[in-house]
Parts: sequence; C-alpha cells; structure tokens
Amino acid sequence: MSAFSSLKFNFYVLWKKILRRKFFFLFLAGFILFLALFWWQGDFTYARRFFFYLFPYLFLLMAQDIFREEIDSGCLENVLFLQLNFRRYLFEKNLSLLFLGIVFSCLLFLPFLIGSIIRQEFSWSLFFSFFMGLLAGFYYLTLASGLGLKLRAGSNVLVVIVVQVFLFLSLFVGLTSLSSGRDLIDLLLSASPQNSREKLLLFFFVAFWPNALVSRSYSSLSLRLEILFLIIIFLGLQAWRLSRLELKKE
Amino acid sequence: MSETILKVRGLAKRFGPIQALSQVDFELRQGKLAVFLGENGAGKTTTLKIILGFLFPDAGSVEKIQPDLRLGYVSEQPAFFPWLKGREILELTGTLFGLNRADLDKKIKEFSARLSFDPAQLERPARSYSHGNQKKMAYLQSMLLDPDLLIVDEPFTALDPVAIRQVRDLFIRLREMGRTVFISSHLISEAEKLADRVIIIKKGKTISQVDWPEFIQNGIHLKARRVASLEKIILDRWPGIQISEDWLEGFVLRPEWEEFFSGLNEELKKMVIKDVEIRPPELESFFLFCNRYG
Repeated sequence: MSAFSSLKFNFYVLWKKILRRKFFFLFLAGFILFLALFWWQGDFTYARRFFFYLFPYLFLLMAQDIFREEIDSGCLENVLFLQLNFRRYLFEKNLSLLFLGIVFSCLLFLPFLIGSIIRQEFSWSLFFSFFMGLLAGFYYLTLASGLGLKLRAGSNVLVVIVVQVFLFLSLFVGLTSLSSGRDLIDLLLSASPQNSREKLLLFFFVAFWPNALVSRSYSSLSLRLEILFLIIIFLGLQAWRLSRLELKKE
Repeated sequence: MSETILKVRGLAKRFGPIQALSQVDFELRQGKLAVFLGENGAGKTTTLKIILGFLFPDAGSVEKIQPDLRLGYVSEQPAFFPWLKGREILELTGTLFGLNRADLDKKIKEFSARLSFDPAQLERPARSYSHGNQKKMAYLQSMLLDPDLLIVDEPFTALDPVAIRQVRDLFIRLREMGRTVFISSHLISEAEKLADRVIIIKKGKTISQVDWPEFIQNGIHLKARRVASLEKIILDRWPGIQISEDWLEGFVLRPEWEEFFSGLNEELKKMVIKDVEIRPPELESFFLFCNRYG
C-alpha cells in the first residue's frame, strides 16, 4: 500500500475521532472567545500575543489519549490492520495530528494576520512567532503521544499540564522568597544567559514551557535546536516502543 | 495432497511468568478447513495473534508459502473504531484493499444477504451493534477482502442458530472455492461437521494433528475392560494405548484392528466381543482423549 493511502486512511480516522471530542471543541471555542474579547476591548496586540503563547496547547489537547484508547479497545485487531501495520498506523498519527494542528492554527492565525495588516502593524516577525508556536506545538504533540503509549484516558495531557503548573508555582515561590529572585526574573525575561548555569536553567525552562520560543527574546538558535532535538528524541523513543508493541490483554 | 500455504514451526511465547506457548507446530493446506482445539488458556488465541502479526513469538516462525497470501480475520469479540459507522468501516476496508465502489457495494449486498445482516445498520456506529451483529459485521468486512486464508477465533460465539448455519455454509463455500479456513472453536459439534484437519494443543504445545475425514474412515475408538489376558495382548500390539482405572482406551487403525482380531484364538475373540467397545471416532471423544493423555 502506498504511503499516501496509508496517511489518507490515518487522517480520516483521526479527523472522525477528533470530531466527537466535545472537550476539545469546547476549549477551542473558549480560546476563540477569550481572544475575541481582548480584541473587542480594543487590545488587539494583547490578543495577538495571547494567541501566539497559547495556540501550541491545541496540539497538546489533540494528542489526548492518542494511542491507548485504540490499543485497549481491541479495534487494532481489526482485519484492516492485516493490510495496514498497526504499529505504522499509530506512528503516522503524529503526522496526521501535526497536519490537523497546523490547519487549526492557520485558521486562527489568519484573522490576526489580516488585523495586523489593516492596523499597519504587519511585520515578518509575526510569521517567526507563528512558526515557533508550531514548533512548540509539535513538541507538545510528540511528548504527549509518547506518554500516550503508557497513560490512559487523557492523563498523558494532564501530566504535562500538571508539571507546568507545578513549575510555574515553584517559579513564583522562588521569585518571591529567594534573594536571587530578581536575577531569575531578569534571566527569564531577557533569555540572555551569562554563564553555563544560566544557560542550563534556560534550557530546562524551555523544555518545560516551549511556548516561550514565540517571544523574540527566545530567538536564540540553540533553544530552537534544543526543542528540535527533543522532538527527534521523543519520536525516536516512540518509534522504538511502537516497534515492540504487541496487542495483548493487560 | 493439497498444497501447504502456511507453516507454523516451534512457536513459543511467554507473558511474564506464564509460558503461553512452548512448542506449536502445524501446517495449513489450501482448500481445507482446519479446526484448532484446546482447553481455555491452551494458547489458541495467542497462536492466532502471532500468525496475524499482533504478537511477536519468543521463538519459532510463521512461514507464508505465498508471500502475498491474503488473510482475513474474525476475532472472538470483534472490535471497531467506536467513532466510525459500519458503512465507513467497510468503505475504508474497500479502499485499503483496492476495491472499487461498484465491487464494494456488490459484495456488501451479497454477503449481507448471506449472513442475514440488515444493511440499514451500516448507518450506525459498528460499536453499537449487538454482539451477534458485530460478529456478522466482522465476517462481512473479512469477506470484502476475498481472503486466501480466513482465520476465525470462536466462529459461532454470539450467533443465533440461523446465523451459525449461515456461517457454516460460508465456510463450506470458501472451501469449495479453494480457500483455506482456520477456526479455533470450543463448539466441537459444529467443528466436527466441517473439519478437514484437526489440530489439538495443550498447555501451549501441539499434541495431535490428524486429517479428520481419513481418520474417521480408517480409525476406530477402542475401549476395553481391563481383563488381564486381553490387556497384555492389546498393549503388546499398541503400546500407545492408555490405561485408566477400569479401561484401556485409544484410537487405532481399522485394518490393524481387523488383522489383530482375525489372528486371535476363539477364546480371545469371545473375550474381545464381550469386553471391548469399538466405535467410530468422534471429535469430542478424540479431543477429550488427547487432552487427557496427550
């Protein structure tokens, strides 16, 4: 079977699966409403900024329970998968989700692009931020889908969100109670490390919150390469685990 | 002898502390219906899943003699994508296996009728069907592929008597078309009506495989009371005969038995007539015998 028909099949099944996800569409509607409210209140720039920082989460939410539902339900033991290797099918879901995520993101980006042109605020950096957001989204996707091989019922997404909440709470506590809190704020805002310790700290921060890449301060090549490298690692690990996956009752 | 299409050699598989398979060997031949028997947990489904590529064996191999062998599969409890309608699943199957629209519709119509499956149901998600209709849907889906080898785990589970008969007829039709059917079943009475070959496994090991029609024709089920003089001569002739508390029991070839009987003296002949039961082999008694002594 050609790679195209396999991807076409994959995308069709995935699209139908996403369509029945009320929570995802509720989130999408809420997100659009949130941005629209800001825009309507006259703060277009803030609405656009929120869009750039938050749209990578669309990829994360789409990856909710990406694998386990199908593995556990037994539907991969269907005759369809005698022609289509189920391991390949699962791996290709990354591509289908990426494609769908890009489509949703473009649709959301378009009004901001048009708005920026009308308000004569257009700059090529908008595209830079958008592409960095897509990179962050792909990072979330590969991370959540990797976790989705083990974690059930949406906990693959929950884990990522809980870890991030914990990180921000820790940061808040650290910033307010430590004497070096001011330096840390400066480092996270400017993203210009002075020594290897700060560099490492920044790497960790971006790994936990890749959305930071949409900011111009975080435009250093090493941070982008870090995310790209982690994406490759996550995909590699996923491919390795999928190649050993068996459909057995647990 | 028909051509071998699939060879299973020395399959072994362990799940944690459980040795599910230790030595499974058999062959499937073109145009024949093979019945795979074994107790619960004997390793039947594990073997099927290894053949289908859903599990990896720890040892052994599955060799498809024709690399492009088309497989069909109906699992014990068929499962479908919960968010897809029956028609969507069949259309995807058709597309993946290169069927054009007209052929697909023709086949859906033909096999829906054969299996008394109401095509109106195809407009609902397949997951919402009754168990019996899910099973019929799985047959329908497999039949779209025109399989060279149809593998079925518990073919009659959840089906009503009418559907059981239709499925039996479907197997017979496939066999007539030169297709191979491999079924794993606990319903021995149904399996016996169909079997060309019987393969029995116990605790993950093949313990017997016979060509069933020949076995019925040439074999006998022998059961003898344990009378000392009789016991000795029977065991001398057939060392494989099994001994239980009151009986000697085994399956022997009819010509061998006739030769044995004609060579006995009159007194022993009278003893045999009185103390030995000779019956044509039945699949249930053969399975129970193999399972007990195998």
